Amino acid sequence: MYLIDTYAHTNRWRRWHTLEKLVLSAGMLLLSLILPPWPGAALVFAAMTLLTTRGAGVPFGFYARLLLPPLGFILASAAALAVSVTVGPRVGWHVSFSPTGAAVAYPLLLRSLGATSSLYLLALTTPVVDLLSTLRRWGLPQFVLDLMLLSYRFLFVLTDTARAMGTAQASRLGYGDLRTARHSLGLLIASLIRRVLVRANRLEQGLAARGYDGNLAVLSPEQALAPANLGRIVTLELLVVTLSLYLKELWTWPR
Amino acid sequence: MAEVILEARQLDYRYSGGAAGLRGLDLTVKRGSKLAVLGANGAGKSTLLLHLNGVLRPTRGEIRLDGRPVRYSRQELSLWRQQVGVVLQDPDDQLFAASVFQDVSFGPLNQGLSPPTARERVAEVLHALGIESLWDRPTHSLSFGQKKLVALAGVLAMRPRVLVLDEPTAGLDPWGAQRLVESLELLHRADTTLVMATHDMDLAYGWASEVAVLDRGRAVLQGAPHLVLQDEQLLAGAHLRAPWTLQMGLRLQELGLYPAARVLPRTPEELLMCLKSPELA
Ligand SMILES: Nc1ncnc2c1ncn2[C@@H]1O[C@H](COP(=O)(O)OP(=O)(O)O)[C@@H](O)[C@H]1O
Ligand SMILES: [Mg+2]
Repeated sequence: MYLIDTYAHTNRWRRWHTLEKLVLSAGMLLLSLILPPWPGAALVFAAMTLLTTRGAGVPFGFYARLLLPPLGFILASAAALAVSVTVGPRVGWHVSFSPTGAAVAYPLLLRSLGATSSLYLLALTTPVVDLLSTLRRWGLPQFVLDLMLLSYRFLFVLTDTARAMGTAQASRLGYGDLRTARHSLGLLIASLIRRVLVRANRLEQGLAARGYDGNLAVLSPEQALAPANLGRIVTLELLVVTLSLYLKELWTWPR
Repeated sequence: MAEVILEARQLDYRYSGGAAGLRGLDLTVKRGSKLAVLGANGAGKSTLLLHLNGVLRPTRGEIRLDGRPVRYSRQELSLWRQQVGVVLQDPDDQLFAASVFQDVSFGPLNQGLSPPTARERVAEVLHALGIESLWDRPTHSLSFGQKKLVALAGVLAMRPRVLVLDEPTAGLDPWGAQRLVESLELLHRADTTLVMATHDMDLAYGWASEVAVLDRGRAVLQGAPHLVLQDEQLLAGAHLRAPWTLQMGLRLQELGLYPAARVLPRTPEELLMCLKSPELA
């Protein structure tokens, strides 16, 4: 989580206008859902992976590791579809590969990959600050934005606190065996909750001291929209559409 | 006598758990002064400072701003907080925004400044504190010292007449603390009244034009630093000790190494100077 945030602030596309990145990410997300999964969603996945790692400069190793959890999840559900297990009184356990299941599973797999990589591009290149101010410009209610902002900020305050407390417990052998570990974790969570409440209370005092009146007004970052960039993004998206429709004629997956 | 800008009279404050925060506390802040509020841990420094701009409301007693008792209506509070800025002890209690310039812009925007003016203010304050390079850093990626400076910037950007700081140097390295004191000196010259809570006696002695000693929710004495801080009995009662420079200066006077009529040295540097060349002192 820390690293995602770090890359969002340090990548090469940091200064791009948020709208450009949104058009790219949301457009590709849409394409990966409506184009034929092969080769459409696969193309989206390839393009987004290349753009995130080559274009924005997020290290490939980190990107790949980030893909692992959703990939594992996707593969597990694909496997569940493609492999059928029958349990009968006469045959006992019977595991079989189901071609119809596989036909359902592979588009699912490709679409999920395409969609995930589209979202990752946004998450890895755009700081939360930029996203929130764009949402504000679009007229999202202020209290929703305030909540999002505070959750984001508290996420880091809390992980810092939890990490520090965990270290303190561990250095006093709090995680020696399973039983003490369970006990320590319980204590940690309990005191974490208490600290959140205290923290929230004191943050309110801190904000009050600066004239908080129920509205977390802050400046928005200044960004310039580059029409050339937008043009390139739309071109790329059209290219993916044409290419996938064309390739589909040439090479169809066995059904 | 200098004009009084802010005054606390007979403040009582009780925390909701029943713990007494303040018990009949009196404090006078003179215009243009540098007041150090001294007290051991738990003496009530933070509780007092939160009263100075109306974040906490006393159970009894009153606060006066420019001689007039303040009221706690929304409007008055807002006016009050534009004049008296409080920087909290823990910067994480104050920084809420995702990036530095956003956080610093919060106060000025609440004052009703237009975004372009607020933007100028932010740039100006970050520059004055020498942290302009941090402007678009996410707040959570800052070091503790940097967070403290950003928290200070967030209050300075509102241009308060009275700046109240809760243990501003606690947790800073000596260099960071020195830089902070220098920034405060600039503000002092620009006619800002300063109030600082600390238990760093040496810092207070070198910095303050006046000190107030707090003990268990009460201000036991307020006055000139070299007078108040000589009172060993009083300090011991408040679980404090006399500043080292003052102890040393007094001892030198006793030994006849320092002219009795002269003002005692207030910083280690001044002390070293007069040790090097006693005839000059
Ligand atoms: N939120 C709180 N709830 C209950 N008691 C508190 C709270 N904050 C402070 N106190 C108590 O009030 C007294 C003064 O605390 P504080 O003003 O924080 O002292 P200082 O800043 O001088 O260390 C202490 O006895 C402390 O235990
Ligand atoms: Mg305190």
